Amino acid sequence: MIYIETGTDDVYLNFGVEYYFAAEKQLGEDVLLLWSTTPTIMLGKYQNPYEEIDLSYASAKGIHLVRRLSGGGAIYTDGGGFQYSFIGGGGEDIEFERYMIPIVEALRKMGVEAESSGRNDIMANGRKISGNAQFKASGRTVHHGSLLFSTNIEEMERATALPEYKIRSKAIKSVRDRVVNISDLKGMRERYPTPTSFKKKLLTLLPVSGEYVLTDADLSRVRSIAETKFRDEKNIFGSSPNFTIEKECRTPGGTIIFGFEVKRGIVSDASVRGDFFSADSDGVDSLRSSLIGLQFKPEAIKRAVASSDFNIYGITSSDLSELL
Amino acid sequence: MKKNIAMPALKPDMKEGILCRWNVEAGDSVSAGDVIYEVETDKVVAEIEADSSGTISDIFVEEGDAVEPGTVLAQIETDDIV
Repeated sequence: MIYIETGTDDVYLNFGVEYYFAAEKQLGEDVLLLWSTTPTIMLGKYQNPYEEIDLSYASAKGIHLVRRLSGGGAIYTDGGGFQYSFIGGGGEDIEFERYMIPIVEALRKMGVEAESSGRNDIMANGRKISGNAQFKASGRTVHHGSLLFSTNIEEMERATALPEYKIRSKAIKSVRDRVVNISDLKGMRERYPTPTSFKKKLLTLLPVSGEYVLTDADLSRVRSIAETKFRDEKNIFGSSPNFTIEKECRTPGGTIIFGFEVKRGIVSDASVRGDFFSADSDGVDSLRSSLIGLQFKPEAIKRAVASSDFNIYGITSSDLSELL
Repeated sequence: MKKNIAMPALKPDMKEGILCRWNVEAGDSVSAGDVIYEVETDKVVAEIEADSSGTISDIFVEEGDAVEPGTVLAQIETDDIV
C-alpha cells in the first residue's frame, strides 16, 4: 500500500486526487489518502441538495458543497474531522470490513472504544464517529470514510437542517444518526487522539510500503478533474435524480404555489396556482412558460419571476421573487 | 440473440439495489465494457458494464426503483450469433 499526502484541505482537489488514482493513474498497489477539509457538505451521488441542505445558510457561511461519487447520505466535514480514502483493486463484491478494521484498530489502540456497526459506520458509546461509503468504477473500488475528532456539530446540524419545501423524488435520503466527536467521548477530553496522532498510528498498522509524492503533471491533471468533476455546479445541482418541488408564497393578495418538475437540473414543467384573484390568466401562463427550460437554481428562478410581466392583484413581480 | 440484463447481487446478502441511472436508452448501441447503468446499495455506487455488444431493445425498470437481485432490468439484442 502506498500513502499519498494530498497537501490540501480543498475538498474538490482532494476528491480530484482520489478520482485520479482510481480511474487514471495506477501505482500497482493500493493507495491510501488521509485528508481533511474546510467546512463542507458532501452529498451522496444520488442525493438532491434541495432535500438535504439549507442552501441559503450554507452559501451565506461559505460552506462548500460537493457531490461524492459514492452512495449514502449527506455529511458535514471541517478541519476538526479527518477523511480516509482507500483506492484498491477490489473485486465485484462489496466488502467494507476489510477497510474499516484498521481504522477501528487504530482508534482502539489510542483508547477509543470504537466498533464497526452493521450499517458500515464506526460507533463509540452507541453514537456514530465515522461513516463509510464506496464507489466501484473501471474495475477499481474506492472506499472512503470520515472521522469526527472535533467537528463543529452545531454547524453540521444547522447546515443540514431540513428545508421547508415539499419535495417528491426517488433520491437517496440521508439517515440522521446521532453523532459524536471523539473529543467529547467520556474520558477522551484530556487525551483524545488528534488527527495527526491517529494518522501516525494508522500508518504503522497498515502494510504501507512507501509514500508517493505528487508530481507537477499529477497536480495539473488533478486540478482539471477537481474543476470539471467536482467543483462544477452543473454536477452538484444538475446530477440530482429527477424531482418535483413546491414552494408556497403567502402574499397580501393570497397564496401562490409554484410547482416545478426538475429533470437533470432543468425545469421540465412548472405550475403557478393559488387562491389569488387574477384576471390576468395570460400573464400567469406566460410566467409559467418563462420558467420552463431554466436551470433550477434559486437565482435563475427569482430573476425570471422578477422580470415577468403579469398582474396578480396586490402583488408585484419583484415582491413575489423576493418571497421565493 | 435477445439477452436479459438483470440486477446483479453485489454481495451475497444483498436484498435490493436501486437503479440510480441509466446511461442508455432503448435503441442505443452498446459495446461490451460500456457502462450502461449504475446501482446503489448499502452506500455503494457501482457502475455496471455491458457484457456483450448489441442494441438495447427494452428497458423495464425506471431510475430510482429498488429491485431484488435477478430482476430483469432491460433486454439487449446482442451481436452474438449463438
